[in-house]
Amino acid sequence: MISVKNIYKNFGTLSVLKGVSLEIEKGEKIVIIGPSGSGKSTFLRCMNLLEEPTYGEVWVDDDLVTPIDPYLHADVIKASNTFGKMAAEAGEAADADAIIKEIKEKDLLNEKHEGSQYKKLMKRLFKENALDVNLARQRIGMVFQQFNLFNNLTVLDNITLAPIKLKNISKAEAEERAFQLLDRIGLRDKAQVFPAMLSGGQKQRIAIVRALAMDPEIMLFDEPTSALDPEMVGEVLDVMKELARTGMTMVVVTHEMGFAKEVGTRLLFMDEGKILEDAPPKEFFDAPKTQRAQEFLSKVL
Amino acid sequence: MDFIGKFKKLWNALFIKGSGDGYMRVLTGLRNTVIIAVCGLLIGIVIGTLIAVVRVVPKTNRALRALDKLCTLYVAFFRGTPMVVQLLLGYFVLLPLMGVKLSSLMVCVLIFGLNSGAYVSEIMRSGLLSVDVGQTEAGRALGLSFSQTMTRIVVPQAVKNILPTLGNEFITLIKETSIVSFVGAVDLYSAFNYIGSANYEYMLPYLAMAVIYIIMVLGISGLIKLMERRLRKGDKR
Ligand SMILES: Nc1ncnc2c1ncn2[C@@H]1O[C@H](COP(=O)(O)OP(=O)(O)O)[C@@H](O)[C@H]1O
Ligand SMILES: [Mg+2]
Repeated sequence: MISVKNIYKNFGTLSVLKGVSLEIEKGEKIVIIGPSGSGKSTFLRCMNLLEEPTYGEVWVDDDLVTPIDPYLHADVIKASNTFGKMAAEAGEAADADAIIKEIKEKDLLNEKHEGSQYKKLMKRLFKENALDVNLARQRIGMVFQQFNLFNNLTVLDNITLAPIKLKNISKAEAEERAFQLLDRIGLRDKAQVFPAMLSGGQKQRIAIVRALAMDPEIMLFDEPTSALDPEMVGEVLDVMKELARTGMTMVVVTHEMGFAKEVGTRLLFMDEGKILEDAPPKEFFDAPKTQRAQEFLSKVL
Repeated sequence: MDFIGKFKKLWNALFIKGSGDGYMRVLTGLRNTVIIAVCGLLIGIVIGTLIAVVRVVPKTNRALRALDKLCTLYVAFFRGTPMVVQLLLGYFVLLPLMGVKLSSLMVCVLIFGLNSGAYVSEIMRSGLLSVDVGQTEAGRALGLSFSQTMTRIVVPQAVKNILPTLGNEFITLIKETSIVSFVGAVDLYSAFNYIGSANYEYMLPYLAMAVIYIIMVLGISGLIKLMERRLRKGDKR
C-alpha cells in the first residue's frame, strides 16, 4: 500500500535517516519503537512529506509522493553525462552495472551537469507517476504527539474543515459524519466547544477522528499518548484499538509496549536512523536479535 | 489674558462667522482623519499580511527569493523615510509621472495604506511566527493547501495575537493624519489652522484640536483594551 524506498534524510550536516525502506501492506499494524532521537518522527513525517527526504522515494500504491530519486532508477543513471563519461573512460572494458554501483555509492550525480537526456527522463518519470502531495496527504491520516487541534475552530469545525474544503461534500453532510465520529468516541456534547476547554485525552481522541473524517487509507500516529497525563492514556489507546479492529492500516510510534504486543502485527526497532529489527512483536520482545534492541528493552521494560 | 474674548472668537469662527463653515471644516477634517486612518489600516493589513506571508514561507525557488528581496526593499523604504516625504513624492512626483489624477484625499489613503503595510507586515510576521508550527502541520497533513491552511488556521490566530499591536498602529495612523494638509487635504489641523487664521487667534483652536486628538486616541485605546479582555476570556490556555 505504501512503499518507502531507501530514504535518507539530512538536516544540514546531521544525518537522521540512513537508508530506510519499508513495504506496508493493507491492514497491517506496524509499531515503531526506538530510543529518542533515532529518527522515528522524521521517518513518519517523510511518509506524508511533512519532511522531504534527501534521497529515496515514497509511493502510495502506484503513485509517487516524493520527487524522483535518480539513484533508484538504473535507466536514469545510464542517461546521465556522468555515466557516459565513466563508460567512455573505461572504454572496451566498461561494465555498466559496476559503473552504476560506483555512481550510487559515491553519490556522483549532479543535477546541473547531467545533460538533456537525463533531464527528459527525470521529467517523464515524474509526470507519469507523481501524485499531487495534497491528494496523497488526503489518503494518509496523521496524529501528532501534541494533538495540534486548530485553536481557532470549534471541535465540530476542526473535524469538518478539511472534508468540506477537499471532499466536495456539503456542510450538512460533513457535520452528520462528524457527529457519527464524535458519538464513536463519546464526545458529541463537545461539538461546539473550543479545544482550549478540553482535556489532553479528549483533544487527542478528537484529533484522531478529525483525521478519520477524511477517510484515509492509512493512519500514522507519532507518540499519540506521550504528552498525556497517565490517567488519560487508556482512553486514547482504546480508540486506537477500536480503530485497529475496523481493519485500518496503522503505523504507530509509541513507548506503550503493552499496546505494541496487543495490537501490533509487526514491530520495527529503529536506532540511529536505521531499522535494525523487523519482526512480529512477540518474537521481538521474547528474543530481540540485536544488542541495541536488547539494551533498549532492558531500559524501558 | 482675555480667555473669554478668545473663546468668543473661536465660537464665532466655528458656528457664526462666514455662515458657520468653521465647524463644517472641523467635521470634514474629522471625517477625513477617520477615513484616512481606517482605510489606510485596512489596506495596510492586506498588504502587510501578503508581505508577511512571503517573508515566512520557506524560500524553495528563485521567484520566491526575488519576491522576498522585493518585500524587504519595500519595507525598508516605507519605514526608512518620513511619511511626509512619501506623501509629497506620491502626490507631486509619482502621480504626474504616471499621468493619473486623484483627489488629495485618495492619495492620502493610498500612501497611508502603503506606509502602514510596511509596519503591519512586521507586526504580522511576528504574529505568524507566534502561531505554533503544529497548527500548519496539522492542516497540511490533512491535505489542505498552503493557502487554505494560512487563511483558515494560521492568519486568524496570528491576527488575534497581534490585535493590540494593530490597535497601536491605528492610533499612530490617526496621529499621523495631521500631515495630510501638505498635499492640500482637509484634516483637523488644517481646519483649526483655517479657523485660527480667520482672526489671527491660534491659542484656543490648537488647544481644541489637541483635545479632539486626545479624546479619539483615548477612546480607541479603551476599545482595544475591551477587545483584548473579550478575546482572552475565549481562550484559557
Ligand atoms: N527540523 C529539524 N531540523 C534539525 N534537526 C532535526 C529536525 N527534526 C529532527 N531533527 C533531529 O533529528 C533527530 C531525530 O529526530 P526525531 O525524528 O524527532 O527522533 P525521534 O522521533 O525518534 O525521537 C534528532 O537528533 C533531532 O534533533
Ligand atoms: Mg519523536
